[in-house]
Amino acid sequence: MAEKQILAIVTKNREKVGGTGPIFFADSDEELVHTATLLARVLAAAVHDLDNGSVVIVRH
Amino acid sequence: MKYLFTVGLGAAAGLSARWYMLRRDYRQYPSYPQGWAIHLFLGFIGGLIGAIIPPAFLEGDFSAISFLLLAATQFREVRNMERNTLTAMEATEMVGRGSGYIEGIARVFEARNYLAIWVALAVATVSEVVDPNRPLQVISGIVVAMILSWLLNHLMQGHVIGDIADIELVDIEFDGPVLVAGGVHLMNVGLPEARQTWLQKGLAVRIRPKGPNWKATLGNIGQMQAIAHDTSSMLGIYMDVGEQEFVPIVRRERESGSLIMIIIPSERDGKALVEAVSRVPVLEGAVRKPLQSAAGKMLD
Repeated sequence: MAEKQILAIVTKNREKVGGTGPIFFADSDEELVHTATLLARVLAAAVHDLDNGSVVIVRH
Repeated sequence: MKYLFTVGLGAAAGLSARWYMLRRDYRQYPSYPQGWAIHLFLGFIGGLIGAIIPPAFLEGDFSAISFLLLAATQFREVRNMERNTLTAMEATEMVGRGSGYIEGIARVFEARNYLAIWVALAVATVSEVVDPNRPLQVISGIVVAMILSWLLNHLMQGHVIGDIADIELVDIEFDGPVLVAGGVHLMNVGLPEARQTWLQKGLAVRIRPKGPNWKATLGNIGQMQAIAHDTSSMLGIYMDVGEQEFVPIVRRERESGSLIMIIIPSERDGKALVEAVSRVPVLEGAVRKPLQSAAGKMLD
């Protein structure tokens, strides 16, 4: 099993996230998905939904 | 050189045996002449070693025999060679073979050289027995080589997944962002577009073991990876480099020990998927036989 790593967080909900990683804020669902897609392509990583208005970009 | 004929015949038999086992490999590996050249040459060397042993015996040259046996052990290198090659290529595979599968392939390649030695040894022995009747030497040599190659190759064939498990298609559905198939949570798919792709193009199978022994075998991570790799290479795969949300995934159902695999093949054909999974080899390194143990029998 390869080492997994959260590369970035994209969220609509500023209160739910924190920490030292890169965090991107979105105002709508569309923007959230769009940003996440672009990041995932650039980083060659997968998008996982946390079901609370946030998604994480994870490299597997 | 009175043994030249026997040695030539034995070496040729060893080479042919190696060739026969090479072309029967369904994995299409090696596929290029370079790969063939390597293995045929090693098979020829093995054949030569096997063929020289009977004449050396007849001459009573035991130091020669010792050296030949020493040379035969050098075929261990074949395993290293295969392992290194396949491990180096692992990074270039969309869906990796996994180290369990690589070890299995490497062992098979090593073993086949020993089989070539056995065939050459048998042919050279028979040839010396009927010496100097040339036509009979050739005919008996061919017969012995064919029977032995077929037999050894037949004995070497392990099980395939179809032998040890029942395979059936199951539906893919989503529980929020989580992809569920056959009641098992397989992965979290974050993008709605990717979820649509899974629902439209994805397929899932349940691989249900036929007994406790095979349940333990299917639980091996190397075996799971081998199933994902072989199925993807047989059916093709719908993904681009870095699109990790479309990587085929194999997960285990805790309760029954069944495996669930999800994959997006190039073409959505359920029958072909079941067929492909049933033809994946059971890895030697994955085989477990808990029922052979006292503790295992108590549980059954």
